[in-house]
Amino acid sequence: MSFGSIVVAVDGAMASQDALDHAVYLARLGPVYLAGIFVVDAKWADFIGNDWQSAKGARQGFLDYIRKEQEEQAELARLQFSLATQGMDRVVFSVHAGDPAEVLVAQSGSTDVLIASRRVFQVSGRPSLKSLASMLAKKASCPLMLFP
Amino acid sequence: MSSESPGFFRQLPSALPGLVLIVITMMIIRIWIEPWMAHTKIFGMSKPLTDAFHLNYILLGIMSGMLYRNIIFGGKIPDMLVDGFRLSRLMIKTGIILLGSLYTFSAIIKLGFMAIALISAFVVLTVIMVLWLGKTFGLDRSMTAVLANALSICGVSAAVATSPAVEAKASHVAYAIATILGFGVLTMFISPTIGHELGLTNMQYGAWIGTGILNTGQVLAAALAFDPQVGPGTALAVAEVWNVMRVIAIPFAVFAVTLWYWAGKDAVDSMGNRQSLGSLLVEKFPVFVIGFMAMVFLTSMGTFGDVGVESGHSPSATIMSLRVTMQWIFGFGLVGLGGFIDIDELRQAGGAPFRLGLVVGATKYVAALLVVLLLKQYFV
Amino acid sequence: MANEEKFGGEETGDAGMGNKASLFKDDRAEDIGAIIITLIIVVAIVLLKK
Repeated sequence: MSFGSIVVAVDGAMASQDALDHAVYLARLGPVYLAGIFVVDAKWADFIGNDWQSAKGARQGFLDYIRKEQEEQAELARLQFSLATQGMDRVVFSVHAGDPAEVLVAQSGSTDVLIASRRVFQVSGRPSLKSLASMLAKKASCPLMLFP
Repeated sequence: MSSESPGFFRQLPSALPGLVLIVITMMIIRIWIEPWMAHTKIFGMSKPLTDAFHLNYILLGIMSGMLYRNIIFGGKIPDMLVDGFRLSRLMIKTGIILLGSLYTFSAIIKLGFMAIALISAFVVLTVIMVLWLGKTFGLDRSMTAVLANALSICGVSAAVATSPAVEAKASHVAYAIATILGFGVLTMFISPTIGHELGLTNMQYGAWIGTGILNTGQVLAAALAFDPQVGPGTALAVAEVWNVMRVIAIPFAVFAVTLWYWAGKDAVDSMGNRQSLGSLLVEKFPVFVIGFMAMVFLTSMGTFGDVGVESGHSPSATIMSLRVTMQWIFGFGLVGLGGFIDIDELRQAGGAPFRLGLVVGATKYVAALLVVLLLKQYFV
Repeated sequence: MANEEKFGGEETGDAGMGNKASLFKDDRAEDIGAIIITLIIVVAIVLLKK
């Protein structure tokens, strides 16, 4: 099996380490582009949308607080990715924003293999991210490798 | 980040599609579906939907919002419609301010005292229970603090107001919020039926759900679902006083729980992170409450004519129009609110915050009902 | 960084817009908006019923 590009979801936590290691292993086998991606979850506003009697600095203050935590997590993910890919060229790390499941599904359209952990992004995510893997299995348009 | 966003008026056109959908939905419900339910016969029973399930335009509105999100649009409100749905909070806040026209000062002071007494008693009991169970379930201090406020004051509003102050982790808060929302949605749908089966009066029912339901938005919905009338002495008029008291309590609760949280940490560590009560009040005080109080003031001064309570006369034409307007505004707002109930998020809730939330939430809900039943003579 | 060579996707997305809770600048602006709308409704009703 030969392929030109791999996308791996990296979240800066232990959950994504096995998936990342395997992606690096595959990328080292041949001339392959490896892209690590982190998704800043933009669905929090919707998630707390049911709350309506907040005062100033309550809801938006919370969203900014969550955003900060996610940006820190993105930095950890960047670090995790650059450690795992030391000495490799043809690698890129990018941070996206949106619904993690949707972003990964969109990525699957422009890569040959998508690699992710079933628990990826749960470190700072909403409960429904537990079903991210099953959503990927349903909608990904490229071969998909899921790690526990 | 907020300064980066374009102004409200520039975004208004993008809200139109969602707004149109909400308005059309509510019009269909009120003009066709409600009258149909009131006359229909199913399996030989006449009007089973209204008599047995107590369905009315409020519950149908929330259900249609949920239907849009979870079934018709497959789990999310489409980008084209989402700005309109986000306006639902503006509508509900407008409705709350207008609600001020249901009260005179004497009425609100009487109700306010009852609300403060009941809410305070339950806040103390809930906090003690959360602290104890938090230890039993092995939750960390920040999560316990978030749950203490969320379960004792007002659900998600209190959870999001407290989280940054006690350094709660996003994923932990997410599970707490999902639990609180899930429990709230459940109680919002079952409370009207329980209230009718027990033959509660508007006053008893309003006091019960005002104390027992976690989210203020859901208190409002459950009150209107029990009695869709908007007027003095209705379940809505009673429950909303409870709501307002709870919202005002948020900055104080955040302050108290922050003190508790940081008392258990190193003094050096806490420097710069703790906010004073004054700055919390300035930052977190809900300004729409001032609008609500202004409406109470104007009504008490007789600006809108006779309210129709003490005098025995029928309310003035202005007051009647205000009430009809409120019914529509709440109807629109609650369709939008239903659009933010994501079944998938609620289904995935779990873990220790879920167990604790469920135990405390259910205890509070039942205990509030028992207290109201025991003190029946005071809630008439 | 030397080992970063871009392909596919964009470097960063815009996380800000998706994470807005309302159309207003913040919650307090929303509160004030609600007060203004109430004022308009009340004035309109009072004038119509005169």
